[in-house]
Amino acid sequence: MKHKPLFILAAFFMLTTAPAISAAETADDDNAELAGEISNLKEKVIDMNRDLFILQEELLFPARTQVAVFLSVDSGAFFKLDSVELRLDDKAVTHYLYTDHQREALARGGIQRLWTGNIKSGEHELVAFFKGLNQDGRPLERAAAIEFAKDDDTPAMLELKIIDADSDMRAHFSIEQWQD
Amino acid sequence: MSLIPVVKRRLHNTLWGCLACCAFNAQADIKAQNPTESLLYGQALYAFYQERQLEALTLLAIDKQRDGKAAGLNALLLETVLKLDYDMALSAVNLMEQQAVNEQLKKTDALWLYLADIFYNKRLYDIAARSLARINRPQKLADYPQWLYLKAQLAIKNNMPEQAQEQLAELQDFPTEYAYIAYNLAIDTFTQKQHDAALEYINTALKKLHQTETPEQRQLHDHLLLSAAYISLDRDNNDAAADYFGKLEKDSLFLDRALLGFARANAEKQQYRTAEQLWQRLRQRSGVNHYRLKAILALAEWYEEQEQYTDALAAYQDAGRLAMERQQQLQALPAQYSPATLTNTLQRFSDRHNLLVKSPFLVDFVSNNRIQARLKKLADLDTMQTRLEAWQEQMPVIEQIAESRVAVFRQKAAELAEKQQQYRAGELETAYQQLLRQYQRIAADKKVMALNSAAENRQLAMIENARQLLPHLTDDPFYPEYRQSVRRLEGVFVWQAWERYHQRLWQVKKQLLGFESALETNHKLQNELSRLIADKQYLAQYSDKLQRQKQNLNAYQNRINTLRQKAQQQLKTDFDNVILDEQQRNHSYLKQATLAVARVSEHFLDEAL
Repeated sequence: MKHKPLFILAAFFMLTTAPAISAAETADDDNAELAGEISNLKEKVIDMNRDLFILQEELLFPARTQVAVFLSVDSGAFFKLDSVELRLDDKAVTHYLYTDHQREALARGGIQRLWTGNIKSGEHELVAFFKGLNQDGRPLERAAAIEFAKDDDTPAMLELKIIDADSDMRAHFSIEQWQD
Repeated sequence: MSLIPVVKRRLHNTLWGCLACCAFNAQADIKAQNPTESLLYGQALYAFYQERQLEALTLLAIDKQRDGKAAGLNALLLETVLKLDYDMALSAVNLMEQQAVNEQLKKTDALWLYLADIFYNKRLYDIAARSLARINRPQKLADYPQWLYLKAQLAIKNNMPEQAQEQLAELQDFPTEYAYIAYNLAIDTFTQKQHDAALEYINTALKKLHQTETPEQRQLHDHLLLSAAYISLDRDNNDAAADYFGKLEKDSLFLDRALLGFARANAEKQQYRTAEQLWQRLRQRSGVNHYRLKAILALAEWYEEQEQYTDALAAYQDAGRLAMERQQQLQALPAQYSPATLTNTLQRFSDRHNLLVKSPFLVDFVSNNRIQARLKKLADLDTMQTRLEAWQEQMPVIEQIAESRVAVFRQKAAELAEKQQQYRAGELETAYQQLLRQYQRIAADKKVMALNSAAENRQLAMIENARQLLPHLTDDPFYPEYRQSVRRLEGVFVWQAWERYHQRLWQVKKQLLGFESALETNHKLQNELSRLIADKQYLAQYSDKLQRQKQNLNAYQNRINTLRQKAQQQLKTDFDNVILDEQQRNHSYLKQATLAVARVSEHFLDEAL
């Protein structure tokens, strides 16, 4: 609410001078026209963005070989996430550092697409290493692993989950494979 | 003098408030659903909470294009909120109108209240009223004052003050909302020249705000005081005006204005000593604004009237010097900024701050709602431009990938076709079907003899011949023995055939299984080949798709550039107009001061002569 006084002041100024009213109204009409044009363009750009994203994904990561790793955090009260490292079949594939803004987005229910890659069909192993601070501010490192099968028809979707458990007042780390 | 209604504005933080009160808890939602239904929605939320609206809207659009698994009330709310936040209000309205029949949505009072608020602030009053009409009475007490406030504001907009008064009566326990509505009703009655009624509204509002707690309430309180003072001045009640002016705090944003108004009221009451003190106070204040210039000129005029010519000349010279200094600054200002540099300056906090330090009168211009909306549009255009430029850079790589994948598929398809030929699929299928039919017949009827070898069939034929000869034999002494021998042979043969039957039937089944495996391999090859051919055809379309998208990219980038120039030009025009107004105002002070200096100097000259 802190900007309100400025607005009130501005509104007062605007209307204490009569000629400014008509000028403002004309400018508002222009603004509305421009706003309409920009809004239309936004719709088109969103559609194009969507088509290009789909196209890019189909080309770079076909369903037959695609593996995608996501990360979600349930509340994050017992663990402040600093970084995640992913190893697929014992090879490091990504390492990610989190900002406060990203942590907040995760804590509010956002899901991050952490990494996308291509693998052959068959059995694989994914290991995730989590680094961060516990509720007492002490460094904490945890790992979670999953063995999963990649088939020929659908992408492999894996979710790293950090869940606060009230029962033991700790964060629990797991990886789950999403099924269609 | 004209006064306008004030609007209680909800800022961005209400978005989060709305999300919370709409039970827009993504985590709960994700857990409640099948997780696969929420992936893109979760990603959209992640982008949304990082204020990447374009990305979030794209993710929701991808979901819709694919299978719409994230479709649900929360995804709909998210899309609506995103569109409102991304200045796509009409698109958001359409979205909500389409979903208006949704039973779950009907119950979300908080959502409709939030939307009504947004639409009201975007001046879409009809839609705001429609959104508000969906709420009988908010379920949450916290939403109650805002609901009444919006109803009252819309009633005032629609010239229905009686209805607004009814809402006002219900707002007794909510001082801020009460003060806003009371103030706007005061303005409404003041424009009809009902000064007493207007002042009554203001006084009641001031009583409600007697213990101001928040900065918002404090500014509102000062705003009410200042307006009451002006209304009093308008009805020539200088005492009352002075009283209202005198109540303003020393650090009020309205102090310069109030000092000038208060001085004017005192001067009109011929209390010149008090007026002089007030004008002097303004003269001593730092910074140049028209209140200060006006005060110095008024002071100088008063000195001149009092024939204190030395003081008058000093004050006029003071005003003239300040006005001249300011005029030079104001004249140089528009040329310093092209539309593009002005946009950059206003978008960057440090540059904007520097501009405002040098030209404080632009504070109102910068904080003006319309200017902020223009800057937001420019920022949105910049985001889109950045995204499109990124695609432009990626396009050659994407094209290359598409081409190489088509080449790989072409090669793979040829190899598979060759392999498949080796299996001679047609012959395999016929042989398998024949064998299968034979097997089924034998197994169903238990045709033991059908599994005999050629030699066994010959033996069986011999036994059969011998058996047919038996009735024709004469009374040979060997006949009974021979007949016994044939019967025994026949029995042994049948017994041996049954003994072999299950083993041989299994052999047939094994052969069938062998066929099945070969056929399965063949089918797999066939499928893979078909898929590859389909992929190849699909990939071949990529070239067209990419070409089309490249054209779109160029067209949209040009469009963005045009719109950006347009928006920047509008901003620059607004900027120049504000400076021009300020120049004209300043020029009149300069003219007034210069003429006065000449006049007073002439007086000194006359005296000297």
